[in-house]
Amino acid sequence: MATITDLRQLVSATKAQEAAEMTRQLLAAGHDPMAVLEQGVMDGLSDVGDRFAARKAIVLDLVRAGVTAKACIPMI
Amino acid sequence: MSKLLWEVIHRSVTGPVMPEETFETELFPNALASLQAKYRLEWDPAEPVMTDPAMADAVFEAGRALLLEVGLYCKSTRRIVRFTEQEIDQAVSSARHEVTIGRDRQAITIRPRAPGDAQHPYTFFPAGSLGVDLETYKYYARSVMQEATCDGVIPVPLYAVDKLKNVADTPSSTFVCLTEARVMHEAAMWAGKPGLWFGIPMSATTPMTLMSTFASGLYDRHNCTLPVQILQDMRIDYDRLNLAFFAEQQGLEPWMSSCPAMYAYLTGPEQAAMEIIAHTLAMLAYSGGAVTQAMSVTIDGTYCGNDIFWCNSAAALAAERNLKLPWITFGSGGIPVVMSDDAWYATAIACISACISGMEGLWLAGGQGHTGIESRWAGEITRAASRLTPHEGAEIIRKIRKRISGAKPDPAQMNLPFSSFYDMQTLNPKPELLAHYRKFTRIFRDLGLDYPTWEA
Repeated sequence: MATITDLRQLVSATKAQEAAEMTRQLLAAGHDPMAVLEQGVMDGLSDVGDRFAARKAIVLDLVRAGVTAKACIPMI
Repeated sequence: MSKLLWEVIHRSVTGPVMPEETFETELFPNALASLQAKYRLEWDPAEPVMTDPAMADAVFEAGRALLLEVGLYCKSTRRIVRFTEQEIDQAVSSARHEVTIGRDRQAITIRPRAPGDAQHPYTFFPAGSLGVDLETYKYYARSVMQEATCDGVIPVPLYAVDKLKNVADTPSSTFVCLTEARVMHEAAMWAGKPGLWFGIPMSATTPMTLMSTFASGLYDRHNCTLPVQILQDMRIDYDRLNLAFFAEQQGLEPWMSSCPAMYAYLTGPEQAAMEIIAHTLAMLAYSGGAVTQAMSVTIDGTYCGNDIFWCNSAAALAAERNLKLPWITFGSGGIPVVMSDDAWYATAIACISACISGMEGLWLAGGQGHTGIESRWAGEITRAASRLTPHEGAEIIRKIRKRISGAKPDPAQMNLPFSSFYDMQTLNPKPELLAHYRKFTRIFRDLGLDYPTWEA
């Protein structure tokens, strides 16, 4: 069964389609939308930002993370 | 004239439509990653210079494949412009390999050189300085033009003339750029070098200003080139094509330029080097130019580092072996302090790297303080290092690299007035600056380089 931590990892890995699908599954399973947003999507975005700050990610990763978040948030 | 210019225009209105976001987040980076893997391009972060001929050829093939696979994204029409292998091969085979710049006694013919050649890369110094009044700007320009190793200059952009700001696409921009041209002529006359090459009109930011400035006759086919440079990450717009056509019509030499930003959409120096080759082939196709400027920068604005030097040398060696265009790169470490040891070491690395990568020239050669003696240093170290083999040069660079502290420049030492470095009456460097220069000549003599004026 999918968890919010799994969503965070997908957002962190900038996998837009998979993250959107998991968001849908989590909400359908009754997870708190705010937890999905904050601990799944937002924390996943923060992970990408942290990697960028540590020079382990590039601007493209930030853009892709934004696209991923954009795919998830409308469902929440 | 490249026949492909008309094809590019045709394809810009008939090629496949694609949102720019799709191009920059999918097509372009995916092609980069797969081609980097296919051609096994991998840099060693410990190596500040790339001297491996096999790797250079792989960089060239990967860059060529990148252009063929991705094409160019035309921002004016949101369409992809693709090329065939035959078209690119034709553009390469018909490329010019020699270009004469400057006139009369200052004319020089840039010819292909290989690593280790006795012919040194030509050194083009920054003339003027940023954010200073016009009179001071003139002093800076004179200070570099009076140097014996000045083969040409690149005007530093003027932001304003007195209270008239350089506002893009307005007559004020043209006025400022014309002032730049007048100052260049005046300083060159003062230095006894009236035929000097002035590079590109750096104060011009739009095609309108460029064309208006050349229309004045102050800049012409002998003393200047017309920028037709590609936009970041394989993009063009109609401005590029209009400028390429204007250059052809006026008999001007196009200035082909590529300056990839690492860590934005490019993961590192391998991809940046690939992109430089792809950019160059594309510019060759639509402009038929020859003079090529290629340098890299990081997303946070750094011009110095192993990644930067690896990229610049890899792209240059790839071009030297496969294109033989007059190839120019950034001749400075980009550190904005005049008497900084790091800055002088970094400039030396850029110059030595150019010598052993087979480059033909260095632009903005010298320090970011834009003084004549910083440029003298770049000109002399370039001449002293011209005969080095790649192995010898790489050894010296490794030694120098260890001496760079990497400390952030002291803000108190930045933007000091010109008069703190030069006697304004004689335009000679002050003793403190000369002592710094002499310290470095001794250091580099100890490292095995020498130049006739480096008296102990």
